[in-house]
Amino acid sequence: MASGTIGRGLHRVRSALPSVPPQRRRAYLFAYGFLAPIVALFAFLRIFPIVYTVILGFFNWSLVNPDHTFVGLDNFINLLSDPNFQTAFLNTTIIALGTTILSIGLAFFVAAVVAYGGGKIGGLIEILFFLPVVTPLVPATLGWRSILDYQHGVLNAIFGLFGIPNQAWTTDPTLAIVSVIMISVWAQVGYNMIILLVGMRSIPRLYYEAAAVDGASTWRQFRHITFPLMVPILLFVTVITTIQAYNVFTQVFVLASDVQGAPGYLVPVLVYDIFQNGFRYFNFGYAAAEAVYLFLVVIVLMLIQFRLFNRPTD
Amino acid sequence: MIHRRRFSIIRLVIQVALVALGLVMVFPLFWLISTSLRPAPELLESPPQLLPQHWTLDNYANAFAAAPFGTWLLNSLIFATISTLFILLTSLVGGYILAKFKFPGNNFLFILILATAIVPFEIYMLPVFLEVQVLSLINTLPGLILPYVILSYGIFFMRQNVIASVPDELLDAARIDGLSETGIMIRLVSRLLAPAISALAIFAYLQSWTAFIWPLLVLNDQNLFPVQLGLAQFNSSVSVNYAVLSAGAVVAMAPTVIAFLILRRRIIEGVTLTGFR
Amino acid sequence: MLYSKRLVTLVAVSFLVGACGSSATPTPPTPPPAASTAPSSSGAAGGSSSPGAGDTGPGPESGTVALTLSSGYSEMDPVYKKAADAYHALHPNVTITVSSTDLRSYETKLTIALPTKTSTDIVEHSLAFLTPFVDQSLLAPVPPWMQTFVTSGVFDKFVQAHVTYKGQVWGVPEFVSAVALYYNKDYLSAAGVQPPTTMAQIMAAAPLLTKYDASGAVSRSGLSLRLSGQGSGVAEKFWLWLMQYGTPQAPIGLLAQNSAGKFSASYANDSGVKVLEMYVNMINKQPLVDDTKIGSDTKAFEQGLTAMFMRESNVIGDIAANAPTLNYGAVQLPTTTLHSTESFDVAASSPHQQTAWDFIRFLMDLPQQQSIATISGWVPARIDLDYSALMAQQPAWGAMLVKDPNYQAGYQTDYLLPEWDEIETKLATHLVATYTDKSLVDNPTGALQRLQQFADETNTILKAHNDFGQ
Repeated sequence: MASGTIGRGLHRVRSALPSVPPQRRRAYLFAYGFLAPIVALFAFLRIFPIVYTVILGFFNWSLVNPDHTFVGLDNFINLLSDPNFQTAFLNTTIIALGTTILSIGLAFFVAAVVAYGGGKIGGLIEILFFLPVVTPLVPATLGWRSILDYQHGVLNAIFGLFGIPNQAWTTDPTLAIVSVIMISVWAQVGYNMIILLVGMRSIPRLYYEAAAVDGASTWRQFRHITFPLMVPILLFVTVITTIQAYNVFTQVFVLASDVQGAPGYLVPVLVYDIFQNGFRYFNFGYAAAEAVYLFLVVIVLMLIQFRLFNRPTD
Repeated sequence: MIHRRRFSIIRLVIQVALVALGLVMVFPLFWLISTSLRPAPELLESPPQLLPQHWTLDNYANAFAAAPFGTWLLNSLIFATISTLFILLTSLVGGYILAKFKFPGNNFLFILILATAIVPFEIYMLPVFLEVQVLSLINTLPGLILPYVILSYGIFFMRQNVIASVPDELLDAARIDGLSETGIMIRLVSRLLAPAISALAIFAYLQSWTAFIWPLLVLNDQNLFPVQLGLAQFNSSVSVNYAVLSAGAVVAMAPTVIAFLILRRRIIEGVTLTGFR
Repeated sequence: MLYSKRLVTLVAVSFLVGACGSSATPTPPTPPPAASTAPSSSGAAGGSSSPGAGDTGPGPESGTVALTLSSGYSEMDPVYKKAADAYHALHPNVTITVSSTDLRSYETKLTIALPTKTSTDIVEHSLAFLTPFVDQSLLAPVPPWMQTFVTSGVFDKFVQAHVTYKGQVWGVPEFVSAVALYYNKDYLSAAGVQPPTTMAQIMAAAPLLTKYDASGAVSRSGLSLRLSGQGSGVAEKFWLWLMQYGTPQAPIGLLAQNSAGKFSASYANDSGVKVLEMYVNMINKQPLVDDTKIGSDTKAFEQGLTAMFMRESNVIGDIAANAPTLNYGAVQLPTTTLHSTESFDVAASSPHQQTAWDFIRFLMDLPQQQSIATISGWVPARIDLDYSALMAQQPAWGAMLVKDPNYQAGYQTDYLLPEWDEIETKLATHLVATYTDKSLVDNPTGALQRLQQFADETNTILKAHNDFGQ
């Protein structure tokens, strides 16, 4: 439908063509000629799939069975009472919130120190914190799994120094979620820090100097200058992080892939459930309906951001 | 005086704490490297030692002997390079045209592109899979690359950069000088946008190098796997011990980590410039 | 010369083993299959040396053929590769590429590759997993000559049934898995416990075999339960315990089939409660017998971290490779066991079906079948094989090769339903979450309620596929 609108738009463009001043006509031919394939790709690879995801949600649709039947809202309704979906949704939400709050809190702290009291170590901190961002998640998770190992892991060894008994980081249902959050925060915090750092560095020093002259303490400066000015950026980072965290998959997939017995399907998450329903149980429609719910989460987050962004900051 | 002194001590403590935290951040990477360099029996030591007692490169030899890591790295390279080139081309051309040519629907298209930029791939991966299946590209490199030839955010990003740094007067002057439209784009616009292009290239490369779920869906033949998927499969095979697995993990992460260490200023600037990862 | 000598032995053995193997049927299997098939198998020019046998095919295609085989059992990889090399030596125009991964990844790959017609030529799995693909004609039917071979008596009747769906043979049995109870001999004798052969004995022995560290945490489990992991593994272990509460004549499965051939969940009952309570109490009620935190399964057994656990025969191979000094044994499960068959199948999209079937037939030959047992530790599917050498080497094989017709009568296998995988995986997810629920300790009412919920879901899935019937 959306791609149809683009098509109509282009059609109007073409019929409008002769009215363009002759000297610029060549330029516009170029523009349409080059834009057309890009728009086509865009429609084929983004617009159509997004729209079709919603449509699929209304069908009983399977990769192995060519008979596709329209089932109305059945998939959407059945999902709401499906314990697998409920668990996955709950887990994913916990992971997303945990990751967002912790990674932004930590990133904000680190960025503030680097921006205002970093001295010479700022560059080093940037490198150390950003390295996880460029590390692919599969090897990173493997490294983490070894650190979290019950018997031979470094984390439990460190805990042992303080007399804390070994914890089953990857096999206890609650701790497994903690572990996933830990890995996600680790992978995300450097990115958030860099973005927040840019924001902090762009606040004119003049503001702080004026406040210092007025005798404002560091905390008051932070509270009344830094924080309010950082709100839009914080909001941006929050929304981006939450959306990404809702799509957690690789960490869980790799953590769960021990061969025998070990961490199994302890932490079902949404994307994993979509993947299972779509490709394992041959229920594309059901999986698509699940993806639509995930889409709704993203839309709500986007709306929150737009709504708050457009509110004038005082 | 005293006040100042105390303040600088606090500052020192915070800085030390921060570096310590930073070291925790790189610990998983350090641990993989350290594990990959020790003989298997040392894996079971408790408490675990930070460094190997007997250094060895055998695990790397074993990893490369047990699985086609060379092929996987090459596949990743092909995947990332082609994807990056396409994304640069489509983003630059699309962004430039959207920025500099007024036509009906321009604004609508722009908003549409911006709106899709934030929708995660996982949401619409099912229909993309069906499309690739219709094109008979399942289990092929083109099928792997196809969803990665455009980047909505890239188009948006280039458009904003063209508006910011390519004045209309310059374009008109170039046209009067007889430069063709294609020539303008290749010689003039792309030169003016060099920093933005390199930032986008870095992002695109990282994106495909670290991609996981799409390769997992679309590829069956392990000779076509990019290295992340290959590593995940390597992890699943029974007979691999952790030292060899770590060696494989180091191989899979080395390219981006080394590239980052070399190009770190540019990469961090790129991230701050593009605002995405 | 050497060859023909071995052949004679095999013929003799095939009579012996065949006779006791299919003791449910009074007569020994029809003509010594080993005799008629072995020559062709070893590739004597296109099967011409066994005229009229009817169970060898037309041989491989001519011209260059690149055949692919994929597997979900990494431990089978060397078996296939060895066979591929041997086959290539016989037929230089055929090269065979083998790729293996773990079962979970493999199943994921299969469910994508078969419908999109991008799978390897030969795939292998149990027919229970493959039924959805059979229903959609994504697997090639077995050619008539192969059907003749499969039904010629070289497999026992259970195995034959495991590859037969809707009256047609869909795959060629590759190896079978029967689960037995492994025990650490040293721990048992230290505790003065005999290898348990009844449920009561198992339940009594497990606490005696558990060890605790200074803090009171389990340091060695008395009985290692399957508490997480691959969905089918979790559900099957639960099922196995469930079966022990029935009798071979009236076995309890996860599903019950009515006279109309329809299915319904059959684990929300007293036996199910007993099993669930066993799990919950063993890992939640002091003194614990097992703990989620401690290592489990084969690895734990090899490291001496558990005294007993239930597993298939491939553990024997794994122990031989990784813990050769372990002093262990295995006993058959008290009542009966799950007995499933992995089979070779050919994708309908394969351009080299003729060669594929010929290679599969080659894999059925005795040298290849023997290497299944010696390299991977799985039980080869053919019954006409001399196991006495294996048993002399490792008596634990005895628990896998049970020939007691009474015990065999209760054999169950995965249900041949397209939705079986979904039922099993979802049930497993719930079970994993339930095992650790402390509120169910000594709470049979709560356990029954929980099982009832799972059974409702199972029945809903069955209904969605029109397979439900009380």
